[in-house]
Amino acid sequence: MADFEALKNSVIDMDPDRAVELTQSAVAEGVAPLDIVNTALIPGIDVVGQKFRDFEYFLPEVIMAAKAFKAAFEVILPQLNEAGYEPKGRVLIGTVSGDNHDIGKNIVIALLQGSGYEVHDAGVDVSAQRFVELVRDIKPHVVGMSALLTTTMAVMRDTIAELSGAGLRDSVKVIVGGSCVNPEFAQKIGADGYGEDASEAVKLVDRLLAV
Amino acid sequence: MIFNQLDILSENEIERILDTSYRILEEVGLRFEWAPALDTLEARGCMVDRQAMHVRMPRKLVEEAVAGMTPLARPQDYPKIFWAPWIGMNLIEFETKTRRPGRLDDCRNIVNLVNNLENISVSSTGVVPQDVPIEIADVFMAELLFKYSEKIFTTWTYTIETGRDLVEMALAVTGGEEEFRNSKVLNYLAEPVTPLKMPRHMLEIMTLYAQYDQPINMGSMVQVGTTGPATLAGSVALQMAENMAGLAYLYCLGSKSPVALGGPMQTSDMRTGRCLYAAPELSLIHLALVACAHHLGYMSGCTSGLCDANTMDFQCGWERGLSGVLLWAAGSESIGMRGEIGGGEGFSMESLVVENEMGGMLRRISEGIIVNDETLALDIIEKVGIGGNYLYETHSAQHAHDFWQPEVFSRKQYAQFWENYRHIEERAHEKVARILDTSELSLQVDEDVAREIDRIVKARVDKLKSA
Repeated sequence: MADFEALKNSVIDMDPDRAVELTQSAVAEGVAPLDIVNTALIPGIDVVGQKFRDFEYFLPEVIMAAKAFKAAFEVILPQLNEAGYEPKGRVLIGTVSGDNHDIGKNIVIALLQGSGYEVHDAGVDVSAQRFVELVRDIKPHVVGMSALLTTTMAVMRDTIAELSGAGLRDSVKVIVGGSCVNPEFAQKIGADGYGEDASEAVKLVDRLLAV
Repeated sequence: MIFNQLDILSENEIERILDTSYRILEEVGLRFEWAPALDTLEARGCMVDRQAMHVRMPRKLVEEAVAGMTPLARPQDYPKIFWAPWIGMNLIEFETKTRRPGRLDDCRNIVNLVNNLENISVSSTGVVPQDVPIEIADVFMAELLFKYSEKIFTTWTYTIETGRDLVEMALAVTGGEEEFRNSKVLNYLAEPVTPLKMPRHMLEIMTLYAQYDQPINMGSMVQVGTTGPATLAGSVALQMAENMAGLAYLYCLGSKSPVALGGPMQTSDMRTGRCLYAAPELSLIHLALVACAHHLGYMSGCTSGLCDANTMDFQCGWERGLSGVLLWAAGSESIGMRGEIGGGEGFSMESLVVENEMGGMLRRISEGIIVNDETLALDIIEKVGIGGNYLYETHSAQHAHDFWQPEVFSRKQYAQFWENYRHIEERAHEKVARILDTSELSLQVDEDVAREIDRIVKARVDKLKSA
C-alpha cells in the first residue's frame, strides 16, 4: 500500500531520491496520480512553506524541498496531464534583455514552485518579443520580469507595450522585481504588481490570482 | 600611528584562499561575453572555447598580471579618506520617511551637500535620477559631478556609448588626452556578473577606460550563499578570482590603468535570500578581502559603514560603526560614508550628515597620539606640580582646539538634552537644510567647458529620441 506519509516526509526531509522512489512505488501499485499530489506532495510542500514562514527552514532548505517535490511530480506529470490536472497557476519568468543576473529570479522560481505553481523559466537576456512568443506558447497566468541593471529597466516597459500590441496584455498579470525596480516604476509602466523580494513575489502572485 | 594591525587570517590562510582563486581561474574558468576580449586573452595563452565564450587562465599568466599591473595608489590623505555616498535608486524623504525614486534635483542637492561635508573625500550623486531617461541617467549624473563637484567623484557608467560620453566630458574638463591620462578624473567600478561571468558591457567599458589609463576598481559582488558558496572562505576565493580575472584581462590589453581589488561583497540572509549589508559575516569577508588584496600588493576598494536598519536608530549606528571601524583598523583604503538606509533601499541626506560626523571621529583617531617634548609636557607637569590645575596654563589654551568637536552628536547634560529634545535625525536635517539654504552649487569648470558638457548631454538625449 502506498506510503503517503513517507512520501510527504521525503519532501519535508528534502530527499529527491526517496521522493522519486516512493512515487514510482505508488504508481506501480496503481494509485491515482492526483491522489499522490493531493495526499502527499502538496501537504508536504505546505509543511515546508509553513516551516519557512516560521523561520525553521531557511532558503536553501526550501529549495532542496522544492527539488524533491519537483522530482516526484515529474514522475507522474504525463499521467497528470492526461487526467487534465491544472496547477495552482502558471507563471512565466525571465530576466529582461541586456541583463544576465539571474539569482533573484531563480530564488523567486524556487519559492513559487515550492508554493505549488507551475513555473516556466525563460532564462536571462529575454527580449520583449521573446516574452510575447512565450506568452503565446505557454499561456501563463502571470509574467514575471526581473532586472538588476538600471539600463535594462526600460525593457520591462517595452515588454508590456509589446504584450498590449500583440493583444495579450489582458490575458496575463505582469509583475516586476529586482534591485533597480521600485513600486513607482512598476506603476508607471503599467505592471500589475511589484515584489520587493522573493517571498513578497509569491504573496503577490497569490493575491493577483486570488488563490 | 600604526595601522593595518587587525589580521583575521594567517599568511598561510591567505595563501590558501588565493591558491583557490588561481585554481578557479585555471580549472573552472569564466565566461567572457565579448569576442574581442576572447581574442585578447587567447593571444596571451588563455585556453578559450569561443562557442561557449569560456576562458581558462593559466596561473602563470595571472601571477604575471598581479606582478605587472600598477596598483591604484593609496589616497593622499589615507588613512583619513572616507568614500563616496551610495548611488541607489530611491531617496528617503525626511518629512514623510517614505522612499521615492531619485530625481535630478536630489542629485544636485547631494552634490551640494557633499561639497560641504568636510569628512567625505569622494563625491557622488547619491541617487540615480529617474526624471530623466533611465537608460542614460549616468550621463546626467556625470554632467552634475563634472560641473559642480568640488571633490573627486565616482559614478556609474552604464554602457559603452555613455562611457564614450563620459570620456568626452573628461577630455573637455582636463583639456586634452595627455592631461586626461594624467588626471585620472574618471574611474570604473567593474562588476562581473557573479559567479564567473564577465559581461560584455563591463568588458567594453573597462577597455575604453583602460585606453586612457583611468583607474579600474575590480569590484565583483559575490553574494555568499547564492552567487557564492555558503562558506566564507570559498566566497572570498571566488570574489578574488573574479577580480583577478579582470586584472589579468587588463594586463593582456597592455593597460596602464591603476587597479584596486575589492568589491562590495554581500552575504545572504539564509532565511530569505535577501542581500545583507551589515551582517557580522560581511565584516569578516571584507576583512579577508583587504588581507588578500594587500597580500598581492593592491589597494582594497571594499565597502563598509553600511546598515540593514531601516531608520537611524541604535541598530543603524552600531552596524555602520562596527563594520567601518573594523575595516579602518584593518587598513582598508575606503571606509563607506554612504548615506544609505535599509540594506541599500534608500538614500538619506540626514544619515550622510551623521556619517560625516562619524568620519570626523575616525579622522581624529587616525591622527593618533603625537609623542614629543611638547606633547609629553614634562615642563608643564613640573610647573603645575601636585594638586594644581592645568586649565590656567597657556599650554592648555594652545592645545584646546586639538580636540574633536561634534556638530550633530550631543554632549549636553541629561536635563538640558531632554528640555528641547530633538532626535538626531532632526538635528541632522537642520544641518542639511542649512547647507542647502546657504550654499549654491558653483561651476568648477570654465563656462566653455560647461557648454561642451551640456552639448554632450544633449547629443545623447537626441540620439536616444531618434533611436
